[in-house]
Amino acid sequence: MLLSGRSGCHVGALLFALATLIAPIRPAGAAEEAPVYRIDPDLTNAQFAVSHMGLSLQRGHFGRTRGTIVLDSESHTGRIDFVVDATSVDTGWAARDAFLRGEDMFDTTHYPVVRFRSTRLSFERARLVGVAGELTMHNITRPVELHVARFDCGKDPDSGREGCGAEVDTTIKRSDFGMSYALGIVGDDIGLSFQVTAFRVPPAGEEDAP
Amino acid sequence: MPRQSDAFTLALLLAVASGAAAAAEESYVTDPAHSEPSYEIRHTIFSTQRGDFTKSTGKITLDREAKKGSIDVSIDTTSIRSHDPRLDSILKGEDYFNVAKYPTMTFKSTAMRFDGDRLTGVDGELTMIGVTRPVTLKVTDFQCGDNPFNKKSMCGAEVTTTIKRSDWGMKTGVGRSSGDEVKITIPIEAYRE
Repeated sequence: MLLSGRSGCHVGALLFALATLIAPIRPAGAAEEAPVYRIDPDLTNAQFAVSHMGLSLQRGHFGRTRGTIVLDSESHTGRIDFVVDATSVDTGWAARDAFLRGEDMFDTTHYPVVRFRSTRLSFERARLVGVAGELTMHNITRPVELHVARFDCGKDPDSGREGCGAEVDTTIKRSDFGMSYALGIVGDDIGLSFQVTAFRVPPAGEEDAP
Repeated sequence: MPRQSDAFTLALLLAVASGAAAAAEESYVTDPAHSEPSYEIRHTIFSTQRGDFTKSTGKITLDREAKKGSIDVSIDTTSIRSHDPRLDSILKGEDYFNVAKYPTMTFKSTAMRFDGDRLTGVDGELTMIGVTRPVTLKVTDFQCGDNPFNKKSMCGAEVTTTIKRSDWGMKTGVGRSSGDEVKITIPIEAYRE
């Protein structure tokens, strides 16, 4: 969009006028047209990894997630809203899961939801490569940067639906979210690794929306 | 027959030697709650599926001075848990792990690789759905220390490998809805016996 800003230049003024006419309309138009995807909870995996006693990297995941992705690869705009049910924490050992849901860790009685909301999407041509946003966990909101390691879109051979899949990772410090219990035994750095699958929601008016 | 004083001296020397950690064979038993094997496999063109096995047992011997040892792991295949819960019954069925017929899968080492005191790799054989094939395990972040709670001596590491499940005859879906390559990651924590 060319905004020369030079007063007294006839061509510049014309271009400026045209730009101000076009500029407010295009983003609204793009938001209405931008494809919307619904995250498929069964095909999405939210895993975390943490150092245990400095001896091994222990993993767990959240069994219940949901979310919406608005993504326009052409205009490089979009919005991601990803919700994790913290009560669905699962490390394969019931006693450990109960502890994680408890007041010393996630305190899911008070804070059952972990949420990520994007603020900026980064693209390399049509490929999503990064997402900046805010993570709300344990009633604290902090900025995070997600790295998109893999991003593929296409037609799902099983269902015929159009969708995208991504591998997204980042590292956070649990103490930044007030989850500081046993920092000497269980690490502060939490590696988050999400395998996300989302299917296109057909635009309004089309049948067979999921 | 050694004399009593010789036996005592020998015992004392062995006690000192085992305290020096690298001078004798060490035996370890894995802690199953912190040694869960997990897998990752591509599913359709843009999904990746994850899962793990919540029950397994393992025995490890290490002679770090002689750079030898052994690893014996048995995984309860009925404890498979896909992070997509719809798949558990399918994975346990005849097309995949066939757990009714093969309730365990095992790994037995044939060679261990060390870098100084640290284990860095293990060659061995994986037996899965009745088929035995060689695999090479990469071992990283091997370290030993005392458990701060019970003061027991223990070691930990990260073990990874990638296999082609069709090599074991587990071919359902390969080339169509599922990948062939399976990325396996196993954190290990083992207590010294």
